[in-house]
Amino acid sequence: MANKRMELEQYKSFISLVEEEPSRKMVKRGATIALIISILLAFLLLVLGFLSVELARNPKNIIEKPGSKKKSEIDRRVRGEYANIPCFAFEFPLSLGAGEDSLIAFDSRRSASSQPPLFQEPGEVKITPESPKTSPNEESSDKAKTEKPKKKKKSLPLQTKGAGNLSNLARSVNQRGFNLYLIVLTAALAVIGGIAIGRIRKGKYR
Amino acid sequence: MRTLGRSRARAFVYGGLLFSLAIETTFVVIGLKNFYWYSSNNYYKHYPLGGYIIWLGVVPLAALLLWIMVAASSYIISESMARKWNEYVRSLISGSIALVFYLLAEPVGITNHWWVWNAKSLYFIDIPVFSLICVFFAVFFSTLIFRTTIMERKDLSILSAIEQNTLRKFIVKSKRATKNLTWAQLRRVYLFRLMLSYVSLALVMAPIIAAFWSVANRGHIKPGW
Repeated sequence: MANKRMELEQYKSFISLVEEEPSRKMVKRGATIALIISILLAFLLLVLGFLSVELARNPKNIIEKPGSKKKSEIDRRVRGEYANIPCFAFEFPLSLGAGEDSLIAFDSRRSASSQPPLFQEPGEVKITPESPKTSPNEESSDKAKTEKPKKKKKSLPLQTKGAGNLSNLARSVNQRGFNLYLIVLTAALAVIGGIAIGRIRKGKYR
Repeated sequence: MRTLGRSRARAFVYGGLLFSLAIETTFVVIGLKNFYWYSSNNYYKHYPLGGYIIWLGVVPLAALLLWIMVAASSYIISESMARKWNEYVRSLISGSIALVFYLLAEPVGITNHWWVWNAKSLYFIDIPVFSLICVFFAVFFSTLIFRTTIMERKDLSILSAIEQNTLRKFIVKSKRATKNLTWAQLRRVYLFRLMLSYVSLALVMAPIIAAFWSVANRGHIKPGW
């Protein structure tokens, strides 16, 4: 009796995959919903990409970071009349195009006086960090000073060139390269998703 | 859940979560990638979606969920488009679709500093080429293992020697064919095969990363900077 009970207990958490198998209608509906969500995700990425074009055009975007914030000052200002504007905008002017959308990070260093012209050729752009302690270049150059001068190893720049740099794409095709790139990929995904949805509706799934 | 059934859907999600967590954690730990800007939560804390809220170790949950969504939609698309082809071809199609997805997501993520690629490597529009190859193979392996283990319950001849001496002996404790295993045993087989996929992915990616390191066009950015 005890052995029988033990044997039956093993099947307490028994799962029958056959019983769990959803009906065809439910499978179709579920697959369609999943694909619609993925297409919406692609469109969301497209919209976010469009909103961050200004950042993409900055060749130093990857190696820059926003300035440090003073927490109390920020909290005060956030609670005040500037609730919807990122607080460190008061220290640095907002960049074009990204200012109103608080979801998107913006380049705080693009002040009118200090920003390089947008149409500057990338070429041999020197990476000159504007503030100390905010760039990996700064730390490595300090180390180099303290060490004895040895053979100078040619280290790779932190900014890519040509096809390796996103800003070159963003500034190509009349400043719309990045937008076109996103549109093409989103369209491709939407088409593939649409074809898949069509086939699922016809019953050509599993 | 509607598409696969409750247990299979859970297996897909949890398996994908563990698999992508392992990959992302490895990348962060060896210094190829980091989520620093959002981890410190100082920079984007005031944004409505500012900062990653839930972390699994050094990887935000959001990044893993993105991977799962991409893998799931790639799986469904490949199942509908190439239903009559074998599981390897369908998995290749899944990997390709995931690659297109990440070609869209990576530039947006990198521009907004959702993550930062630190690696010294060959970059294409500020995306390391090895990351795209890794996405392809990761989705290929994970969907292949899911198809063959959970959906079709097949025995893989490539893995039979390893499984007989390890998994079947010590973990599953059964010599029955995979299609005759209980759900609990099948889950263990799935996790074991995912673990093997992770090792295979690491073996595939290591020389690729090394090769791209040698032809790098961008230097190493320190993690945590």
